[in-house]
Amino acid sequence: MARYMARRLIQAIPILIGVSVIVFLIVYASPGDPTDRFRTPRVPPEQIEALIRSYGLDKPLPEQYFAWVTTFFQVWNIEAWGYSFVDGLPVLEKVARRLPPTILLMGTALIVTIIFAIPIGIIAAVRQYSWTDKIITTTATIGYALPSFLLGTYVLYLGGVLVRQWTGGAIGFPLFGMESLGSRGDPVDIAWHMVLPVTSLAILSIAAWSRYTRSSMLDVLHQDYVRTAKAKGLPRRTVLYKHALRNALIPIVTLLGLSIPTLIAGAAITETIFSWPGIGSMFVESVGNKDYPVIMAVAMLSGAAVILGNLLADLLYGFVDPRIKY
Amino acid sequence: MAAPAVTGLSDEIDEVDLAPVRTYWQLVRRRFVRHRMAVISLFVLAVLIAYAVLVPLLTGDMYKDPSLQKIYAPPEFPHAPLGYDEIGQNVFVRLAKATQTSLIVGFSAVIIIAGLGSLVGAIAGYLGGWVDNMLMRFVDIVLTLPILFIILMIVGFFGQGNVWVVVIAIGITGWTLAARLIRGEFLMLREMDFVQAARALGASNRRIIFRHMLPPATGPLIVAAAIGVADAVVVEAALSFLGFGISLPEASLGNMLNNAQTYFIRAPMMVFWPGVILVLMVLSASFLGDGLRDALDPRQKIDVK
Amino acid sequence: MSVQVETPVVAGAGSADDMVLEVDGLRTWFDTLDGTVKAVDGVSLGIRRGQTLGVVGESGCGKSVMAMSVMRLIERPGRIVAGSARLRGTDLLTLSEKQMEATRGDRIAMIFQEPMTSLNPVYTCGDQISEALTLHSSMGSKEASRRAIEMLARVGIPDPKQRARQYPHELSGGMRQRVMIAMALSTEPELLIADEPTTALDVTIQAQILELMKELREQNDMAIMLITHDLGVVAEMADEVVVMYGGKVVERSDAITIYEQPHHPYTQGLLASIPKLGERRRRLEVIRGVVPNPLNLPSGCLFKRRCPMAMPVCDTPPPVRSLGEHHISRCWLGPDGEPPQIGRDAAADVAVAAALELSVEPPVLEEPSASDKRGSGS
Repeated sequence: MARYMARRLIQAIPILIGVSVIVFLIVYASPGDPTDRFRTPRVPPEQIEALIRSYGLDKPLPEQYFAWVTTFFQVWNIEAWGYSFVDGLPVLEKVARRLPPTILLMGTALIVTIIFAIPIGIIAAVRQYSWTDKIITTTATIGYALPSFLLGTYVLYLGGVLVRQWTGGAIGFPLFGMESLGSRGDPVDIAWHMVLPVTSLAILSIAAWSRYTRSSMLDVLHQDYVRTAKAKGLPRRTVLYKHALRNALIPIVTLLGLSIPTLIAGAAITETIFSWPGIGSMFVESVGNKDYPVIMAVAMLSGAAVILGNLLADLLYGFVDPRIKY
Repeated sequence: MAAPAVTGLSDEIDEVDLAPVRTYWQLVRRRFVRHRMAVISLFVLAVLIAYAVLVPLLTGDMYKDPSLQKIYAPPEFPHAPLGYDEIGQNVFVRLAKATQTSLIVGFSAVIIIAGLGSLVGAIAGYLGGWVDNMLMRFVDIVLTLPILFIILMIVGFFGQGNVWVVVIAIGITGWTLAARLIRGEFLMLREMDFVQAARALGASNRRIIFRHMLPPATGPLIVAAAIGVADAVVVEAALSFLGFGISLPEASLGNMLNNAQTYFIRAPMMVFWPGVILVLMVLSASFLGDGLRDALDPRQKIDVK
Repeated sequence: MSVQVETPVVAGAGSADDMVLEVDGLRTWFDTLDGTVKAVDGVSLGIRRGQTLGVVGESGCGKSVMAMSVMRLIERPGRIVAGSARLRGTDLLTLSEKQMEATRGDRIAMIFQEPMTSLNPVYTCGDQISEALTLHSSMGSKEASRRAIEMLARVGIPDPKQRARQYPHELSGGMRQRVMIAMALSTEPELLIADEPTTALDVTIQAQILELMKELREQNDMAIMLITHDLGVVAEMADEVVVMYGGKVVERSDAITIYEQPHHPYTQGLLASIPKLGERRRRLEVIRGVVPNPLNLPSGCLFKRRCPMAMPVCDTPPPVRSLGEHHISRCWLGPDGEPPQIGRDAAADVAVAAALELSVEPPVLEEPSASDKRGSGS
């Protein structure tokens, strides 16, 4: 097991290097640079030259790449990921501050999703072709087709504006941010702020996951061992929930592991709509500001998250399926 | 034995025993027509395309003509059935232009996706060996990239607001699925008798790929393309929504939504219409994909009611 | 000419209470978008205690659907349209789902063709055997797992204690089929339905499994319905044989008669296509053509387009001829394989054909020659 994991992590290194090269090239080969916004007649050109030198932007690309990539992995060093071009803070610190809100938001959305999606998918599969199934499948298909920014906008409008209007201002979900001014770390306040973003994230993923669950369950229901279980005379309930479900959950659990990195990247839009102070909204801001060190760090982090997610999926797979041994 | 033995190996096979012979495309059409949602989707798409082509053609640059007399003016029939926006632009006309932008982005991106995907997939699947290995590792790397982030970066750095940069960004990040699909088909087809026969007859690699292997692989490619269009439309809208894609005064579903968000207490319907168009496009593309997948699969003969 | 309703014909002596399963006029149809597939269309058969009935036919002839219908495991879009399947007199097809659950796995057990996929991959072999036991008997889980180990030993699995704790993927195909048999027999069923139990296995393993089934049949005094396309397996195992084609029984007899005096050209074709040991090397006979499209069946005899003996009269559905006490054949050919004398029997033929079009169950043409008894029919 440990050897398998070690091997997988070693295999991940070339992939991570490939990712870093691509990300680096996009960032540094693009026209313009982060000093563009200072190029006004009031800033003397020498100062801009000095700024470029201090960022190391005057060096040849390969040199810049090696300088960046070698320090990048020294995560114990606060300077490893450089300093933000915008506010001068260490990138490592910025990321460390923005990561927990993202994890909180996405984790909650994931839990809500699992609680709803799996039972819904099972019901639809077990009653295939029934009206219940048709309603669930149609709703899920529509939900699945909703782009996240559209849904986010509608949820914001419904929950933040209409509900406030209907209740005469008695109930109004906060429109943005993670906490109200002056209430640092109050859990109730944070939870209140999470209602709308979690709702809009969960609606989308419930639609997707109930579809996965349904099709996985349907797959399993056509397997020979389900026929064997029926031939044994087991009651329908036992066939479904003992023999079929246990197998149907295998791909679901694996997919869950695989989806964790997408959750982080997918949060970018929802976080931006609800001004959630997470890593995704930070990325969007940084692209607008050409804040290279922050962009690189977040992009690398999501690449690493994909690799870790794959590894997690494998581990979970080995855990739920006795056929897999590492 | 009471009766003479059954005759030996017969070289004629009773054609009469088989179902009425239909050509492949007749079968495809028959199976597709059965898919009610796919047929409806095809109709919806046709209407959307007609709307996106005809209205801008007839109105020219009207979609970015503000009129301060008509700010938030109510619908006027027949020329402004959806009313006017916050600077007095005709929403119906603007929406048509935005739909056009979306469709252009969607279809152009899919051309890149299908082209790059089938090129890489065909080479990997046909040649196999270390070429396949290298290409698939590269696919792995692209799959590991945070795609939305990469697209944001490309668009943000190389040409914010330019439609073609958006198209290229979506295209060069989105081809992996198509490549894997074509590679899979090719790996399978490569071992098939008719390909082996073509090779034995001395056909060149290029001829084998284009004459014998690409045609049977088009089915999955068409399905992937239908879904690819929907994805590209959504990504473009998301980019414009975040302010990186197509910027005002040009019209895109994403920037119309973003813009409407600012005014949605005053004019909620402005958030509604671009959303409806977007959902219609995505839904019909995905139903169309489903219908095509079922229709193009030659193995599927008898459908369950 | 005598036209009478067919009753299940069974070989061997013995009283009626020896009859374990009687299937009568069973029809199972599948509704597809292209039309109705009559997968099983009027099948009748019977099996006695301690005997094996071989059900033979090419794939797609409806033999598995017939077995699944008896188990009441037909799913949409399939449906059982008509007929009965009596297990010791009780019609299974009219039981409630609850009663059927109590019967399945207890009084009738079934084993399948695919030992590799028929066991649930996430539970141990022992668990899967004891599951049926705790369900159908008053055994506690401890006792059931002890019995599961006992059953594993009985089907010849070495080191059964260890095996019971293993997952299916840790066993070979032959071992898995033994586990399936152990599972099926653990509740001592009266009837075992074995659907191609050895098709997926190596020849040597095949022989072992067949031997095991024979042994267990004797020990438990149960009846076996053995479904196969392999006449060699039937020769090894069966007391009686039913040959199916296009969802109908085309010939039925005791095993020896089928091998020595096959009447139906289809049966003859099947027999001619198996190689025989010790015979001078010659070209193997093949039945020409393919199984007819179930959606586009020929009118009249379903086999006529592949039949070397086909005659104009075959455009009319053939009668079921009784050729001896236990031997019937659905063919126009006379008892010795001679063509029917159309001139003389024309009126009778048309009458039979008309009856066939209307009736649920085709009538039986009584032999000797129908002309002798003309007018005395029902």
